[in-house]
Amino acid sequence: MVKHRFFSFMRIPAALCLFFIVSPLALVAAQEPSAAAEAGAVAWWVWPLVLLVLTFVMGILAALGGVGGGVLYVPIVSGFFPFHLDFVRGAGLLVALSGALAAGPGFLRMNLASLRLAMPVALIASTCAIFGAMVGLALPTNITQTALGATILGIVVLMITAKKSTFPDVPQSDKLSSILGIYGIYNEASLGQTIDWKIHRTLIGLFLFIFIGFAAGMFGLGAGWANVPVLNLTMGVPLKISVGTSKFLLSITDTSAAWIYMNKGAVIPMMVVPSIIGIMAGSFIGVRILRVAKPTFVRWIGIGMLRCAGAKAVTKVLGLPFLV
Amino acid sequence: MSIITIQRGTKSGGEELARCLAEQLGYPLIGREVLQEAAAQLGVPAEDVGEKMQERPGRFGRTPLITKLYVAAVRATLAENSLEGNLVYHGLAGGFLLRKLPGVLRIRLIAPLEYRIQALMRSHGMNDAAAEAYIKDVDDARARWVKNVYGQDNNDPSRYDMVLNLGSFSPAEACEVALTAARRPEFEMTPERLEEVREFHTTCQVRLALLEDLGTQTLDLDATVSGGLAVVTGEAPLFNTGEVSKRITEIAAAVPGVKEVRLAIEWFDPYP
Amino acid sequence: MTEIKTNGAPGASQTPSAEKSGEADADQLLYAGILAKGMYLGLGILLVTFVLYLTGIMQPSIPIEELPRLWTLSAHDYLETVNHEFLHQPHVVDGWRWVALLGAGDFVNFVGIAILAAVTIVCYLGILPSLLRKKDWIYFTIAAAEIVVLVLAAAGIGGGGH
Repeated sequence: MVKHRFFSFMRIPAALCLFFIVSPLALVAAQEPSAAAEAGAVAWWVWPLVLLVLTFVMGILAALGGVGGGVLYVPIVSGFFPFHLDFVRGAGLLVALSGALAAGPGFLRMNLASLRLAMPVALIASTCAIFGAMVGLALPTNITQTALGATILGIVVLMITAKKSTFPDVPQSDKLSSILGIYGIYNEASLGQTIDWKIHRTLIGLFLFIFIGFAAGMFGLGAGWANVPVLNLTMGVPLKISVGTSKFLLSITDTSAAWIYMNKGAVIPMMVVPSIIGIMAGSFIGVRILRVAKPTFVRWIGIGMLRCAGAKAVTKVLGLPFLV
Repeated sequence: MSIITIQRGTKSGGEELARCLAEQLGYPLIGREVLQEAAAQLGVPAEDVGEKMQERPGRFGRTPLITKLYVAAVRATLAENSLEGNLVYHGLAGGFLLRKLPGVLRIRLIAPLEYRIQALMRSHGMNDAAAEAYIKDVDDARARWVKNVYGQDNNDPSRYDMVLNLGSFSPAEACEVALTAARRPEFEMTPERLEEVREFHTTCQVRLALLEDLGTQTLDLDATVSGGLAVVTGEAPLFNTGEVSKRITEIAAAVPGVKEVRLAIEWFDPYP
Repeated sequence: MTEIKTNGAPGASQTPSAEKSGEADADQLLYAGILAKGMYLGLGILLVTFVLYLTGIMQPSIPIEELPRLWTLSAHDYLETVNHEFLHQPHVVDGWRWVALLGAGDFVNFVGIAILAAVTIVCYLGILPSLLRKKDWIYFTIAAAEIVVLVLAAAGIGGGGH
């Protein structure tokens, strides 16, 4: 099969594009104290348009580099746009939800997501997401912002250090998963075989989803960064099933939190719709046209952006200069 | 019986050699007509197909979809012409289009630059400098095209079974040498090899069908057919809620000669 | 034909025939079908209503040019401010109160958003009968509990009026 060498030539232009898009936003945000005044001075369509363009770029990055759009949105938008964190989180949840609703059916139909695995996990995560959302909206913004920044930096560490296990060794399913009947079979394309999988450490895994759900609700983040390691490394779910089930899980977890944000009035259509359009269009372009090999440097750009956004969030609250 | 491909630069005497071989062996001869057949199948002008087959790669070294489609059509047409197991092909990129078939005699024909310049001046009425520039341009374009589409070096002699230099042989002598090679058992089209040619033809048809269909053409797919089983590989996003797999299976199953379709596709999240 | 490889000792062999071939079972396919339709419906309506909003075909209750001033406020302050300056409703427009303002270009967008948020509930309702038929009491209970959780969230369990 013909392999494109497109991306090897695109590296420098792509990096330059990202630099020229992100750095003006960073400069604007660096003048933080006047951001609110500045926001009032610009025409209403400017920030939604910038949001559309930025989410488009994020969608491409996510498609190419495997850094989820749902986890990029809140840190970057809250760090570099004048929108209040409440609305950013509400929009972030809806963006992640849209992506999960769009991809979920495909994963389910191809049996790359497991409904039986997802349902008990989702019950715990979605319940805790409600509490996370309620707490997040009740806490003072500076506390939430600091917690968000710290969480993002933690996610960066996790993304850099977390291993993946394509086929974890699960000698025997544990009692809880046997009672729940959590096991499955899927077609592994790379081996041309069907893989029979089962899980263990179910109770520990379910316990961890308490925190994942809470964080997803509180910060409006897509939780793929946490779902996949817990499913894969803790519970022993094969990596492909972990990724697919994680995506599908978001459609349930984010639904519960999204309702809280909606009911609290923390949803502005002028932010939500351009964000959804931008990210989905960017992903569409990214997977259909630009995706060739899996360029690891794109993943590092995404992780780098998260690191900046996390640092920005923390330094913003602590009143420190923005340390890149 | 055997299949012979002749890779040559413009005005290198390739057509003459091909005609001699075809006459001596009693094989069908095909050259640029394969472009016309492929174009007719696609419903596009033959000039467009020829142009795309020689087009310079894109700015970033990328093969456009249209080029991939035209190449697939030309390959499928060439495979169809090879079904009888006897053929002399002297058109574009023959050695590469049929590179996966065993027993094909791949000849590279080269000629001194002066020989080629004189031939071009006679046929096109060009002057010396213009002819030389034209030859260099076409040679560079073809080499770049092969490099881009196949990732291989057009001038690498190890890609061929035989390299003949018209600076050392006359066309008639080159024909004699090539005939001797073509009659060797290594290039004999045995019943097993003929079966492989048929499966190759079916494979080409499946690949072409996947590139022609609007729903699958932008996916990074490949196919191989063996014993009636078509295995479709590659990577594809889970768009359209999983319906894409059904479409791919339907397209492949509709190709004559395919009895069963298996998908070995890496599905990935379209909205990460 | 297809080899079955296991990631360890063989597990309990209770898989229906669909699963033995690596194919999704009926419940999963049903869930996927409802999810897909709901997603298309929600996104489609959202895009249409957003165009109506953006083009001014449906006039918003909050003037668009005021948004840059307002979206810097917290959600609570935003609701109070817009109600005071533009909406003049007896209560702030939180919870489901936007339904009363569906004639406005901005609030009509909540229809699509609500559909996207509600589709999961419909999916769970869709698989309940099958779980009941199979007497899969554990998963029936899990599904029912999830429906309760999501409905409570939708109803405004975390605050917000009705």
